[in-house]
Amino acid sequence: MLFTDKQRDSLGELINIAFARTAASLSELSGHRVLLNAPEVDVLAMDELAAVLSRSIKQEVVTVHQIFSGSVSGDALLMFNYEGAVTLTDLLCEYRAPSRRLDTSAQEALTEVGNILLNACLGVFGNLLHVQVSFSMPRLHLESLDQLLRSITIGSEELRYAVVVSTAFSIKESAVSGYMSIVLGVSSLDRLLRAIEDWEET
Amino acid sequence: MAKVLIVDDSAMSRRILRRILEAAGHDVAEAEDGMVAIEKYYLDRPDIVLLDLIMKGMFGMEVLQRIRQLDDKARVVVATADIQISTRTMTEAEGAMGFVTKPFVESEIIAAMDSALRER
Amino acid sequence: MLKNPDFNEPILDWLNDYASQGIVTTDKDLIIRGWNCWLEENTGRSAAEVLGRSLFVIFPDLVERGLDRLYRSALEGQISVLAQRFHQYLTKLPARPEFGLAEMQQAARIAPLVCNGIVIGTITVIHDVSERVIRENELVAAREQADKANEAKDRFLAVLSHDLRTPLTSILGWARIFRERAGDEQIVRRGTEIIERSAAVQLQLIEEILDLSRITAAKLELNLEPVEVRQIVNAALETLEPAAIAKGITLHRSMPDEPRVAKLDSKRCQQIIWNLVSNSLKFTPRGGAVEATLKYASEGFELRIADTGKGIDAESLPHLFEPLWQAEGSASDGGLGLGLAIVRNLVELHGGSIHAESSGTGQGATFILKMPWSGARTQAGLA
Repeated sequence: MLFTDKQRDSLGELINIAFARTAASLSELSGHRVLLNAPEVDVLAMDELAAVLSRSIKQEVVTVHQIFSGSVSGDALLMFNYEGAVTLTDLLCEYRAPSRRLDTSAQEALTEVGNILLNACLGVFGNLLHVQVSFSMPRLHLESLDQLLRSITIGSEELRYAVVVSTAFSIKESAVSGYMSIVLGVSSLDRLLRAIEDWEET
Repeated sequence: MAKVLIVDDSAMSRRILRRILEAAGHDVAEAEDGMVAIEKYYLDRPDIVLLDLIMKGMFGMEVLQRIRQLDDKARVVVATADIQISTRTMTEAEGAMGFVTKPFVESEIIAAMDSALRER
Repeated sequence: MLKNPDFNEPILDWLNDYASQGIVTTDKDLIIRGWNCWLEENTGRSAAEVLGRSLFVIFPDLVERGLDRLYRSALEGQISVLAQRFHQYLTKLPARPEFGLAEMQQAARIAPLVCNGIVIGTITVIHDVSERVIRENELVAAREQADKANEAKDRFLAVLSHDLRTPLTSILGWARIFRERAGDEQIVRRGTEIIERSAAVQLQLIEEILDLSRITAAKLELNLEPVEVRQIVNAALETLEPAAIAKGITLHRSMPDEPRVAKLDSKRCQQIIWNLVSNSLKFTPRGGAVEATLKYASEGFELRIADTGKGIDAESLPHLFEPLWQAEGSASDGGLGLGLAIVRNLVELHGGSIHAESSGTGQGATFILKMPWSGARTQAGLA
């Protein structure tokens, strides 16, 4: 699978647009200025993904997971380490005292954040690229990185790739970093990249 | 017919803008980061700058401030994916003459350019 | 989930009647097509009233709060999650009275209803999460309290270890000197004096700590017996006479002529009065005066200890009886600053009260002790 610089740049720009929309939504929700920084985009094979993520996610990974299907299909994931997840929800909903646990309310809030982000990304693909997708209900998982990656690769027939974006949410002088990943089969990825080229032509 | 400097770290965005602007008869130069942009502004004195805000390295806001410091008559139109109102207000406070959002809509870009050129 | 058509209706009927969440479904024009019992009970509107009407007419606050765009997204296939932390509720509904909340706290989901790949309507599910929110807030509050208590304990231990060490280093120092200069009589005499004094201070510190710990662990028991009040006051003042004379301070006393008996712990009361007078002596300069005035009243007796000393500024007044609180520059006199804290605890155990008055720095201070004739509990039972 050859992923050119040109493709990396184009995919990055589209994700940039989705992230900016997400930042605007989160800003409205929280009442604070939110910055989602210029994402670094990469396309990796699944085993490379594990290596990259495990560099910054040591123990449990908190994941918001949505399955999408349609002319492109796969899994969309927003991942944080435990502390990052707690900090992010504390920063966004400050009317309560900061907690040190990801309780049910915090998990719910994180699920909404993930849903907004993943919808924005898949929405950009849908609207701009006219690539029709439908989404599943977002679910929050709390488990080891291994368990997570295993659960999304089970049962896939073709070779899968992950579009990985490392990003940081900046709110009120603090930053929480995480990863967004879109895992798709090689034919879906191909269709996506071609759709981006077509879009640029118009 | 104006000299335009496009500042954006995305090659795709620069290509799209170039196509739109050249079709409207403008003369286009590109810079892919803040430092290069400031240099090129100093050397070429374009009529308008189309500036992206979220870039690696120097942020667009700083580029806006530096160019305006260099030349208080500089015309800068901000072109960014960041749709938060607070962002727009901040850029206006720093002297930006227009604000267009991504994804680019050709008519919006042309309209923002024309309006900026008409002033001064 | 079963796709057997025979089961569909009974399942839907059951869900309609007994589901523990609110479920409302609409068609693609956002006209209400389904409205379950939970919603009837919690909104006060029956299905008959709302079916066939626009969702936004029934819930106008959805539009006011900008949530109508979530329904338009749903019609385009997007699912939305509404967390209680961000929105508090999807639509304003009354909370169950037992929760003491103004509104029902809700989490909700809005999703498209899809048939054969086409969106035919929307479904909204509302959860009442009021109870969860209350429990979570209680947990956070409890944790904060525990943290504060731990912080206070840590601070206490820090001061403790410092103040306990000081007399010991002095004793050690002199013991070393003795080893070398055992023959020098003057040094031995001086050193012995200091060692004795330091050890006495140390002992007192430890007694104070033990007292305070016994009180806070509610292990302190008062030994109540009938006691003649003037006797206790005099006994306490007598032990302090030498100290007062040494410092050139006059110790006055004014008491009623008749004796009166109160039910008190004699030893602890002496401790209380001793502490108060000793405190006054500490802060009164040479040539000053400390006056003890005893009065009887119907509920109990009142003892005022007034001095002509440094006085207490307005800022310090509320903190006077806190453990470890010490006025500026008094720490060097030894003691941990527990004395007044212990006094207050002992007084309250007796069912009495103590407070201090002062017109300000340099204006002297008065401590007012009020004790009932018999109102004490025998065992410490602090709140």
